[in-house]
Amino acid sequence: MAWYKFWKKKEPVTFDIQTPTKLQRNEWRHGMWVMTSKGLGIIFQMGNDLLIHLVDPRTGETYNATIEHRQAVRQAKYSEIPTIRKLHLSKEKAELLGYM
Amino acid sequence: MALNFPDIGENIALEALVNKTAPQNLVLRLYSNNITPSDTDTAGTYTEATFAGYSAITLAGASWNAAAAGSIAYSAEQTFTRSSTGAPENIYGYYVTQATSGLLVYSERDGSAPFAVTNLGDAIKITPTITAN
Repeated sequence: MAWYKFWKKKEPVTFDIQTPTKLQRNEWRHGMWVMTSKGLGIIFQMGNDLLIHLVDPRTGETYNATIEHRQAVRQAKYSEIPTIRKLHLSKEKAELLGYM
Repeated sequence: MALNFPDIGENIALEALVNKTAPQNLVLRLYSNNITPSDTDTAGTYTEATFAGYSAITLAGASWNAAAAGSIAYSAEQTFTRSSTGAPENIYGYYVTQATSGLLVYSERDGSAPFAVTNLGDAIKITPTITAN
């Protein structure tokens, strides 16, 4: 059957390189909404620990600051971000930022 | 403190990078509400300063220095100066919008904020600088 192999048309090979459509951005970053034991906040400065500005859920404004270990905080959920601070951010877009 | 490019600002930068959308001059503005920048912000998040003599400053594209070592700086320090004494206005930081679209590009809150701008001659000085890392 060697002649058959010779004449058999090669199947094209497709290399399908895709980037994730739902990039999970869970790494700590400046400006990230987080939940602490003291309430909702935003990461303002990062070192070994996180300097977090606590945000009033009603006004969206900062009222205090706290330093937290990274293990002591988690990324905020979309529903926890004050409405006034997510006026133009749909839930779908928020998920791309890691706010589930 | 670190600049904060919100989601909307990142998208503007990305579309300019690949030549999908033409870039625009940027406008430097001070803000007076107690906001810590976040990645969900828009220009509407910020309340622009209103003290006497305040005026937003357009940053012309040609006036930026050449980028070097992953950083680009405006050619001159920009100054916002109060023109008469009056009720104090707390300034927490600045934000930068596109000149035509008005969309938020980035913002920064000063770690020592707020600054009470009260008297004739009180001034806030900023040299716009963006560093990529």
